[in-house]
Amino acid sequence: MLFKRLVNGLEVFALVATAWTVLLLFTAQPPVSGDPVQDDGARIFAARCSGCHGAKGQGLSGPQLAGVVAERFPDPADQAAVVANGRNGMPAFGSRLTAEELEAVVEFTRTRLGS
Amino acid sequence: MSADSSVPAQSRWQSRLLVAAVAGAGISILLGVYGRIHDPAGQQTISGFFGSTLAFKAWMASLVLFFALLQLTTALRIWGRIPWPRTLPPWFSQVHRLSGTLAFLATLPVAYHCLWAIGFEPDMSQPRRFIHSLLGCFFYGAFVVKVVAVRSRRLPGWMLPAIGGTVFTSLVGLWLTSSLWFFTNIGFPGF
Repeated sequence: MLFKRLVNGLEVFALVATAWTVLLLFTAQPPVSGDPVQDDGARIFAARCSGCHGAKGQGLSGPQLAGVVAERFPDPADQAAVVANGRNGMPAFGSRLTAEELEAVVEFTRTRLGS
Repeated sequence: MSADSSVPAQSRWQSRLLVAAVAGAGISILLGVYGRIHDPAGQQTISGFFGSTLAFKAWMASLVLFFALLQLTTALRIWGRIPWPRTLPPWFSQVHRLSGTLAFLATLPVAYHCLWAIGFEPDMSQPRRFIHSLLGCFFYGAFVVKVVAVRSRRLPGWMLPAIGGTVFTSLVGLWLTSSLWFFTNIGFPGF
């Protein structure tokens, strides 16, 4: 009987957790750095890329970028193509970033990331 | 008399199931629409003691699969498809319910990160992500249908196992297109 009550209670908790998750989906906002000197590339990297590549580009589930990405992609256009179209587990950002934003974040990862 | 009274009863479960199917389809579509139009945050959310949210998700999805397997096994016993345990303890059906509830609860943080941070993948040239996105939306719709069906009396005997099997199959598909991919491409155990 106690076990049944526990299961009933857990089902109610699941309902509440579902409602809370839905609420979060519509209300959660990505953190904003608030640093006025950050350029677009840094801002976009922090918002879009750091989750997988690490805040300093050191690599997490995505590969390390800091200090190595320019070697891996001597032509920035090749790197931009990967960002735009995605590859392996990386999502495509082509439809989510403007051409200028794409260029800015690629430039940031090649020049300032990790420095 | 029994034939007369069975008509409204049959009509009742059919209507109820139809409403559940429409609600399930609606939820699947709503999730897909949200994932498509929401601007993906691209942020890590929860990672627990794992190194990254992706590792957390891969293991949570594996936990979901474990609970789903437990629910499948207990369902098979309840429906008499496996002989063990010989006599059903009084708490057995509660274990079945508990495993389903825990499986569902464990999907929530995973789905949250998928929807909020990554979004729906509409590009069919990315088959893994495309199929994963479709299955993710489908799963919650099918789950709604199952929750309603399990409370409906007078369903044809094959229907609940068919719905439950569909939910389970979609979960296996989700695991194959996420956790298995993570463990084989990123690393195992990955944290």
